[in-house]
Amino acid sequence: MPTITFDGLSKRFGSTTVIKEFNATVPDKDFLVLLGPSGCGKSTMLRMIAGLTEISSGKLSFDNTVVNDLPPKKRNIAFVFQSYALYPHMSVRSNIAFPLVMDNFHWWHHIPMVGGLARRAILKRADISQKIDKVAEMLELTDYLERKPKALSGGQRQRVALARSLIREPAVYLLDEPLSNLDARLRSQMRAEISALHARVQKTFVYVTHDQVEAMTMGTRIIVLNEGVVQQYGTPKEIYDKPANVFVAKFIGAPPMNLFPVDLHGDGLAIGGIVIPDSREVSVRVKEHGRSGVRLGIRAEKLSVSAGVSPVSGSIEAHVVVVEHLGAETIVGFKLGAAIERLAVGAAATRDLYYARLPSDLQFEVGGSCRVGFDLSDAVWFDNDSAERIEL
Amino acid sequence: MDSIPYELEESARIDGCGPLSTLQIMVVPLVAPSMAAAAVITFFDGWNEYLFGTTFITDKENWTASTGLASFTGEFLTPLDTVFSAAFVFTIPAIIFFLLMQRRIVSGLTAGAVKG
Repeated sequence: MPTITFDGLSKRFGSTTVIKEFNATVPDKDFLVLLGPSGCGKSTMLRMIAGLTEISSGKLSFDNTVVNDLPPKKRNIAFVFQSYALYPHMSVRSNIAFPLVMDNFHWWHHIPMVGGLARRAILKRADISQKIDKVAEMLELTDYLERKPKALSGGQRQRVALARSLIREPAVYLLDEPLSNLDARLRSQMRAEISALHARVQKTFVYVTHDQVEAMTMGTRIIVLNEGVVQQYGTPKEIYDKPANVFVAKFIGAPPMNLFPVDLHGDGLAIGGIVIPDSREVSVRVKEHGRSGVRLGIRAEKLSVSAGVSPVSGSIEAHVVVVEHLGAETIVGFKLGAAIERLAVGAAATRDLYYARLPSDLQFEVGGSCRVGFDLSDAVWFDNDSAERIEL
Repeated sequence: MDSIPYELEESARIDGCGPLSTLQIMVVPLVAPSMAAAAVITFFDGWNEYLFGTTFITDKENWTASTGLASFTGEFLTPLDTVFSAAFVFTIPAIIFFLLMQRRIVSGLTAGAVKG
């Protein structure tokens, strides 16, 4: 079972570089998620692993064997496409069995009629139909084996695509946004099914998605990509708690991490002229680093917000702009400073907007004043110029 | 053929198809309806060939059916009964050909391959 190693992998289309210098090692049996916004090169990356797209430079190895020039079939991989790519003229049974049929393909199968009959004979072989039945049972497709793909629902098609990848028992499973065409309920169900599948088959999965919920829930490791550059490689917890830079901080988490611009102000740190309580210790360290300002990153659930104007010790003044009730919790969007009479609209409405995740029993009113409390022990710090995370 | 999703061919490649088997097993069955439609159109095009037939073919033996049909009209007499029976015979091969091919001319055979 292979460990996948990317050694300075890059991809260029003409003069456009899509992936720059990609280095990583994916241990065997890992569930690696490639996460990034649209057009960041994650699908290209996956297609390079599959051998569908040529590698411009660098080395891709499976267990120390360079596979750059191997055709897809020889790489012992399975690929699940975003659009499923089921063969519409074949029944579900033939679709699932197709990789096995092709394993038994001979040159004389090209002869018209003869080839068709030979392929049908392969389908009927006891060992192959046994395998089909086993996989179909695992994915609950037994009742649909004789149907054509067009007679299946989205989730069933998705399962057929998975079954087709399972049947050859490949060493690596490559999945290209397989859930993006499903509705929300089916998506969460398939998410669980794919995770269970990974646990059961114990093979390496490489999963491409732009959905961070999928990445966080399914991945054992995540690579965050942006514009062809790896932003961070780590476990979901590392990426959530300690984002490597401002991009990752903003990309991961819903709502995204709050990033407050912080300046040195007398003995402490201040956000827009408002001094953060208990910030003296950190400000000393900021000075030691020779910086005049940094960015303070803090997750929405680590903030405490209380309605009303009455000063609470250790908090700063703000006003509520958005209130989103989610049932179990409430997301409160706020801006720093005293309440203003007229709320901004358009792009100005989201500028300098920060979010807090609070229990749903707290009541907030849009436009009302509130106090925001910080606990600096939960904060991460980013450099103003490089946007990289710094230890303070 | 351009309307066949590219993923299908790629998927076939991963499953072990070479270029020839991809063409044979994936592409041809999927474009069969379009090929049938094209066959019907060209057949009728040929069958209806009249203008070139009357203009250029001088030998009676080589006349197309439509030209032959038109030749029934004489200077003094047009045998309408013969014209109509010949015209009826003339349509039979076309109807048979169409009946054979119409099953193949079904749109949406690729429905279900990919979502959307």
